[in-house]
Amino acid sequence: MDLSALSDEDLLELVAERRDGEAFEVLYRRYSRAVYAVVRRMVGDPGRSEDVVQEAFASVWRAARGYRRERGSGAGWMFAISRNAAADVLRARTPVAVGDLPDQADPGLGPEERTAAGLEAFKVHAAVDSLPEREREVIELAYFSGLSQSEVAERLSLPLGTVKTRTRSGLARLAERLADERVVS
Amino acid sequence: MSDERYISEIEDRLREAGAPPTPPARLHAIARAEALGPPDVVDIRSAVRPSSRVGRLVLAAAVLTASAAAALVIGVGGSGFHVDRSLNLQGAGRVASASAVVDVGSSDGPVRDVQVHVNGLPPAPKGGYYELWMQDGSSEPTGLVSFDTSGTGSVVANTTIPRDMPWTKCWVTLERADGSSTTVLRLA
Repeated sequence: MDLSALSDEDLLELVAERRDGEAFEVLYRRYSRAVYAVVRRMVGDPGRSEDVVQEAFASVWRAARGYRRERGSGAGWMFAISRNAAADVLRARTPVAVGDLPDQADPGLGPEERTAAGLEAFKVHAAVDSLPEREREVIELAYFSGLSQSEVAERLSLPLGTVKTRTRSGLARLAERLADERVVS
Repeated sequence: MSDERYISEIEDRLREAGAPPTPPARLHAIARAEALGPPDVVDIRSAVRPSSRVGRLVLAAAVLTASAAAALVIGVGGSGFHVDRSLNLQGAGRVASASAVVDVGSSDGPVRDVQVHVNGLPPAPKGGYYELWMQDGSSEPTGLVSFDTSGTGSVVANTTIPRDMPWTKCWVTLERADGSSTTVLRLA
């Protein structure tokens, strides 16, 4: 049975109820970059980030029984696991001395806004990694690397029409998934 | 929503999210081992293991001596040893780059020879040593051989197991002088 077509929620239930290693593998492939991105943003240091990602996925395996789909999406649960694993590392760091605090408030996003923005990017990254490979590569080259569709066609040695078809199909798939996750209306 | 509008919204979200960094490829094996492998701290009460601190230090000293002898086996161990199955172990945590190959020999009477080829594993801390374990799904783990590595991080250790010994897991722990135990190599 091909598990890659299953939803996050179904995969988490397989991990929880059957200790299914293949379901865990699909979750890893779908979420490793999203988790790594969140953790790198929070922790900074690449080496520590790798340890946190390792711990986050170990937590997924251990704690999957605690996931309840009626309480929220699998993506949201994975995001919380990732943030908690990173927060554990950050808490262990030496606190900043009061004298080092800036006089003025940071004009950037507040903690809640940062979390919301992080969750949205997390869901987008996971959605991209759940696409079929042929669609994922054209989407990444176009929107993450900034190539035009002609450049994507040249890079992948594909006809321009094929690139356009795969891009549109990938975007439609993303729209469906991100609507389920309430990232887009 | 119209097709053009939803496509435009998705495009905006993709650009806002930006390209995620790609985790190192080796992290996959480590994360998988961390999740699916045996627990970090293994209950080895039933295994043959000295209970006193002095006993541990004596065993650690013996392991160091045996390791020196075991190192001589490199390049000689192939004689008369027919590999039935090879297991690849990969380092976990701080020794992620370490590895080992466990060669389980074909049956020769009531036992099978086992050779452990270790690479990239730093010498155990003072008073500690490494131990190779196997475990069947339902049984207590069995400690098969204790060893330590030299400054090169490499060693070949030899042991035997009963011909029909059942096992589904295989791993290496660091046994510290204070009695604590941590898994350092797991099935890749």
